[in-house]
Amino acid sequence: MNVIFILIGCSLVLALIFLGAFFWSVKSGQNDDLETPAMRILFEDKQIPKETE
Amino acid sequence: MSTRTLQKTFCFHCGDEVPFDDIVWDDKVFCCSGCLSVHRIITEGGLGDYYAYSDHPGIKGDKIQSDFLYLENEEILSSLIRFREGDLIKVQLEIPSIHCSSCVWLLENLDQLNRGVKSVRVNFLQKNAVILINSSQISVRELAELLSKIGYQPRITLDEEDKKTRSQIADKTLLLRLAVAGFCFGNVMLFSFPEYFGLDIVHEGDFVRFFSGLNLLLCIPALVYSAREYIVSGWKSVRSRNLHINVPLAVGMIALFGRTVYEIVSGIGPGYADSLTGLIFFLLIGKWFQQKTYDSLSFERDYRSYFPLAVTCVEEDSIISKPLSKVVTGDRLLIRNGELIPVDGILLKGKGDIDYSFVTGESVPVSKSLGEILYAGGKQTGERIEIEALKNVEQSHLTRLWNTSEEDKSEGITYFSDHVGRVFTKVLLLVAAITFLVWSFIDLSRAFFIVTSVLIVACPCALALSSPFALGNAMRILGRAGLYLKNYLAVEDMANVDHIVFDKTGTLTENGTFEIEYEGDDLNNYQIEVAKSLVANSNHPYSKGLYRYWSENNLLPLDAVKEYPGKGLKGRIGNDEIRIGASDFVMGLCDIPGSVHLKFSSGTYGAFYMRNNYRKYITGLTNELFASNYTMSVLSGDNNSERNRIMSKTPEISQYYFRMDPVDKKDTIDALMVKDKVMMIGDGLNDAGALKAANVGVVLTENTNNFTPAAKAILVESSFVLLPSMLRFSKRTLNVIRFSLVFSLLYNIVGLLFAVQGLLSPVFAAILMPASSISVVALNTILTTYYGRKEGLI
Repeated sequence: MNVIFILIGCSLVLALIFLGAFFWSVKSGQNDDLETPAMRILFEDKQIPKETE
Repeated sequence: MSTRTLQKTFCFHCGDEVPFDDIVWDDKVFCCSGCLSVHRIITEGGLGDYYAYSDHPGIKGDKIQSDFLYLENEEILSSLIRFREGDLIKVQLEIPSIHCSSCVWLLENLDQLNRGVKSVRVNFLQKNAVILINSSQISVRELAELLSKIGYQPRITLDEEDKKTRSQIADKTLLLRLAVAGFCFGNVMLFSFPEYFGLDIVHEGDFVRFFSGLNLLLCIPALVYSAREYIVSGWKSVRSRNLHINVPLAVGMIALFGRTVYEIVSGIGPGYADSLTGLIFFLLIGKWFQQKTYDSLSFERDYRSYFPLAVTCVEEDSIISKPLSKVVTGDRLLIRNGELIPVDGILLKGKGDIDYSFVTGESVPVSKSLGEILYAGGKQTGERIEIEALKNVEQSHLTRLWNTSEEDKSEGITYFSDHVGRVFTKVLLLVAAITFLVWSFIDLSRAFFIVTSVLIVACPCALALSSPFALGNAMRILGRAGLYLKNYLAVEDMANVDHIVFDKTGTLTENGTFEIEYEGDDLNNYQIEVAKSLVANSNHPYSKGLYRYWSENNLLPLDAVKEYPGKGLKGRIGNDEIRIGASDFVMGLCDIPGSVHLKFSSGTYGAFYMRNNYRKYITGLTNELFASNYTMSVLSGDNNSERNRIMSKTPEISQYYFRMDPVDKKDTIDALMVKDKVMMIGDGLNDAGALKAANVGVVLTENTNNFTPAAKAILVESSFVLLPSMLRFSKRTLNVIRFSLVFSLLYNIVGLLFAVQGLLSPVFAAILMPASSISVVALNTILTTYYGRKEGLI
């Protein structure tokens, strides 16, 4: 049963990684605009300008 | 009378109805040359796909293009530039006309039209674009002109820039706090499950200690990071002796945490980690929910948003661009067609035709001749004029009004939940004190324990959640129906209103449609057709009104049509010359305002008296409001010749105030507010002072892209008819909150009954707290949605 300690530790670390990923996504501005990317994805490929941010 | 059987056609570019399909290019029909030229720029630049992503995406081409000379001014430029490296410049521009996916596509492919544009990122909701340009190939001014040319004129103001970025930072922190609280809450729940299902403390003590230890660790970030704001504001409110709902919340959180630490460290129990993290998580969700904002709308505009950043000055025969704030008395300013007059001044050159629709809501331009005083806020239509500034910007007639009415009235108002929170806090502290006193006689060692239980269970979580969810949801529902509120508290202000004040022009009346009375020789069908064909050549509101008046009649080809701005139109058919316009133009008589004269050189003469139409539904609307016990008044800048007409349309309005200038309007509102809660509904800048002074200022606008004065709410014109339902709905929402307060108090009382007797167990708390939160949230959202549906708002 002692394996539970390791498993729980792993699960917590994993959850922390996701939390970290969320922090990164918010800080890098991915949540700033939730509308435009949904439109952008439907445009023809050749026209998409290179991202600079 | 022949009827018009032509099939309706729509402009390929902007989708407006085409009056005569005479502009055809490449098999496509356009409503005006403006639309065609934009279309040609776009298709010839290889961006024809613009029309593929949505139907008629274009912006009507006849919009007036302003001059961007001021973008050469370093000071103004530097406020727009976000970053500069060598020749590369990144600017952020607000573009109000962004409205569909085609707009996004076109703007993001702007590099096809000009190689100097390196990249464009559009933010659709905020209607702005971050544009990277190579300044050796295109300057910021040229960029702004390019955008204007294709219909996306940027709106450049200085005051709002930093405000917007600041609100974004606040949003981000809340999201991060919520994420941490969610993370802690989720994991704590996971580690608490064994406890709920009866983990054997004797045989599995290691697990118990491990799980509780982890729980305790997880409580720390939740309390210190996520709940920080509650604790800080609770502490502040205790120190300022102004009790607030955050006090019992903060006290409850600290009590929960203290008990948890104590129980876990001393090994006597699992503590209340689940309740604590759950509480914080739900509170933050509520906060996030109520933080709905309308990114693209601004409720805080002052005159600086309306006025240009810079004006063109004439100095010793050279023309320079000067920032508006630097304009002083005596400067000679050049105002082009479509530009705003930024300061009060004397007309020195040219003929003024000033459209004061921004100011008064009246769309018919006013003629001004040399030497007359022009007030700031009007828009010149027609030829370019020169004025001499009489005052600087801050002291002009209208801007002074805004400066003096800047104090925010909402400071002094206590909202319902604050009031309840204050009472609740006092009662709670009293109960806690009595419990402590009583238990200290019975068993002092348990007294502390039980007091913390009382504080925990009385934590007004449900109380704190009900108003954000009910008001937040109400705000969304109203927004969908066309009323955009500045914040969720405005719903409550709306519910408390008992006196509604309307502006007349543009609010009770409808812009651009007229009640037309004709006096003069009888016109036969042919003459009407000639007249209609002539007025079709003009954009003046009266011409458009007459054109619509004769919508059944056909058009004829005319010769030698000429428009004299501010005067009228002249045209020829066969040997007959026809003139339509002001009486001095047609008949050589002095001008009679509000009339259009018509004369054929063959002799027929007549005059049309144009009066603004009242909105069709206005009688029903005011009757309905009267039936719901609202007092109503009308403020009008006109003289009281309109009195009889207005009284027949709106018999239930009790007071009429005529000849009101902007300052009078504000003073009247202030006077009414002594005993009433006032809602002011207006549309022009002359209402700006009154809108700001009222408990709730509602700006009526045709299009939310338009500039609107600062107010608590923006109402789309087409939803005006829903106003009584909206007011009823706001009252219902407040009732929902009252009801759920009773409901949540029941939870607290039940919990307290257990707690004062020392019977509160962690599992019981763990069930009671989330249950009360979730049921209150559900109750508020479901009931407000139900009422919204019932009132026909969704």
